[in-house]
Amino acid sequence: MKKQCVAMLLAGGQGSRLYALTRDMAKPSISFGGKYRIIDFPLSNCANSGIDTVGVLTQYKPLQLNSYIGSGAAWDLDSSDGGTFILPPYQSAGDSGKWFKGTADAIYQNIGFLDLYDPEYVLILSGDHVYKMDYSDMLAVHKRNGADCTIAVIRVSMEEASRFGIMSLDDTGRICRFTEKPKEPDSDLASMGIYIFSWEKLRAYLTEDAADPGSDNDFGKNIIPKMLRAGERMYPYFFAGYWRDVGTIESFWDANMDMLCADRIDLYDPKWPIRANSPKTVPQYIGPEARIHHSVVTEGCAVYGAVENSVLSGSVTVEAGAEVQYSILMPGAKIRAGARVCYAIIGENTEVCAGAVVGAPPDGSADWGVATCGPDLKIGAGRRVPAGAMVYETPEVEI
Amino acid sequence: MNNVHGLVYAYHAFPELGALGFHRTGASLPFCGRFRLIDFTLSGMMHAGISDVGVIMQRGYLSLLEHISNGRSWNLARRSGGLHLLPPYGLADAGKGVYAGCMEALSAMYTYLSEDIREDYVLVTRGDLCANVDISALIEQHLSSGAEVTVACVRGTLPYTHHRFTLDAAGNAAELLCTQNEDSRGLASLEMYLLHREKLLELVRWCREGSRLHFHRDALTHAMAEGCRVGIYLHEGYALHITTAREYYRANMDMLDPVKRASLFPPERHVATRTRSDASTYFGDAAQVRDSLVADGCRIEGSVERCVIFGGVRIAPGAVVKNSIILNDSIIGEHCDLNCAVADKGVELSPYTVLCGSERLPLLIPKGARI
Repeated sequence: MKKQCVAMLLAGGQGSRLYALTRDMAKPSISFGGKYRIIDFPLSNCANSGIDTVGVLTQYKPLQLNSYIGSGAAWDLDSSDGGTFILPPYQSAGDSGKWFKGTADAIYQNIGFLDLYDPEYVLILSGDHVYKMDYSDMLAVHKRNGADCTIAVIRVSMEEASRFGIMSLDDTGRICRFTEKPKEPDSDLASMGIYIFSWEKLRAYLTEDAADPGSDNDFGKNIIPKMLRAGERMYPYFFAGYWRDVGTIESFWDANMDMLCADRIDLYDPKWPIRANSPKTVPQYIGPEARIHHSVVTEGCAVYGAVENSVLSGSVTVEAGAEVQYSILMPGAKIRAGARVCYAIIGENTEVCAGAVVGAPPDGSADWGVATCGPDLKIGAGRRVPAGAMVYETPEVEI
Repeated sequence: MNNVHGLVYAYHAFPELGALGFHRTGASLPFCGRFRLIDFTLSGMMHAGISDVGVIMQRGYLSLLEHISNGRSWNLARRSGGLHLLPPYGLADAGKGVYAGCMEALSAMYTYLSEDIREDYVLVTRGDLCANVDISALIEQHLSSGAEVTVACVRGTLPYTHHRFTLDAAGNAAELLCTQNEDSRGLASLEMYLLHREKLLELVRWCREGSRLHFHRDALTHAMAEGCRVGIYLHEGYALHITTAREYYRANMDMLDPVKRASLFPPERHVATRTRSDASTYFGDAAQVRDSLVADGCRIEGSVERCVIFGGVRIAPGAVVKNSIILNDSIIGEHCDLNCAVADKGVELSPYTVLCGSERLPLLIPKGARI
């Protein structure tokens, strides 16, 4: 089945800086913005862009992700001549199987999958970004430029430029330089980790790179620089909309808070729906004494307490007398009577018992931070989880 | 595969639903923020492992078709069996008038019943029943009891249901009463029956010969007179047939009661429905929401008390909405004042609109109205 464009979604990373949240599940399957999981954004973008064949490359703790994606039907990505395919590392005759070494190696090991669809173009996506983008427009630009590779680009401040792959353009608008995480960046054009390659070209570079024992087999570090050195036609695709990499607790918390502001990212636009594979629940029930201000709340919740500036995922319980401020409550979290949750992230199905206190408002000190509780924990009655703490096991004693 | 075929009547239209029934049959009435009544029947069948379901429709079924689509939400989009949509067909006069009774509808579907159904048993039920019946328990009871027909019943009275059964010592139906009286004896029928396909065909043929129209009054009375054993499956829990605007209002308001809500939506038999792609609901700085059910995709910036709010609704700052049901994507403008109203889908109220109904006579705002 010949396809014009196949998307390959890199969803195997560990997300180690979100440790308490990613200890038992891959980053793309973390709950986000109330209704969603992070992977809903690239998957919905694919469906809305008319891409019907998506390979999802998994490696780290993939079980929840696999179950969440299912057939891809939730995103209308279960077409009869394409669909959503989970692609884990696998064993071949004569070897004992290899983990994906880098991002490029993950695609290299799935050349066989891509060859089934023999696409003209391959779209490489990351499973941990929050944004809305029309990939069909990016593909149109790629074709118009007659490019071998097109990299989605966003302008960042010079201070944060050293966290990204940074590129420079020549007079004709072609990319002439690309440095992964430069110490002294000379440009504010950052790679969003979204690439379109002409498949024939990429296939050749992946094969060559795989044979290079000194390579990290990574797109940013190896493939892109090699293509540039060889003089391939590489162009930027400028993106000016909302885009967040949610790799750290701070950026994850910030991006969730952005969901409270419709002017940052509009999730209510019927022309570009972000879809989720939601559990089947009743609507949220707001109790007689509840107070909810400037917050998003999701179906299945039961709110009897006070909620302010917070994001509540599905089936969260906030009992009467509990207070939740500036926090993110993941699916199934339970905040019992009299508990106080402030500047905190509460993992899936974690219970904050009566009178417990998690997190604290910013006090200006350097070590202040958002408090994070992992999934399936029980923060016992009267316990205190200080600001900036990261808890991933049910505490036996006072913390 | 389960050996039971589901057959759902979804053609009933009720004049007393007023504006709510202009565009839809009872089975596709929106309910409790995100459901439609037929979800209860289709989900109940899904939980009982019924994978072959025919839905009988006759007219006004556009909204129903859009909702059930290919049946995927209830695991009915299948290579083998699955959902069968049954609009009028076959008989030359089947499309004329309105089915006067369910035996007439079944008679119009005779070829389907006799030739297309692969299963030995048929569960015949209404699509507008507002109850979460444990259908697998009903099937189990039917198979172990040896009854020829098993009927689901509830205690007490049920508006609109005119059929009651008194019980004999063994718990089987002794007498079929065609009455609705508050103080009458026995149990009220939910009009959900399980019987062998051959028995059903026999009853359909018998009714067709004499132009008899009704399952209870004609077919079942006749069968019982001939010694047919009718078993009773007692459903414990919330049950209602919604046929008037007042019952519609009451049933939705009942869902604010946690006990009644849990009875219709038990976790072990969740109710599946066609889902919209909505973001979470946003509550603004000045929002005041009390004792209400709210679906996803709403923006609530006003005051809401004792309401059922469906997906995609916007309540502007300063608006006060009380004791009301607001259906999908309606917009309540700034400083509107609404009490005891049912706003159908896509209603838009301009700022400072004041509308008030009563609990016995809720004010219906028709679909798409601009006020």
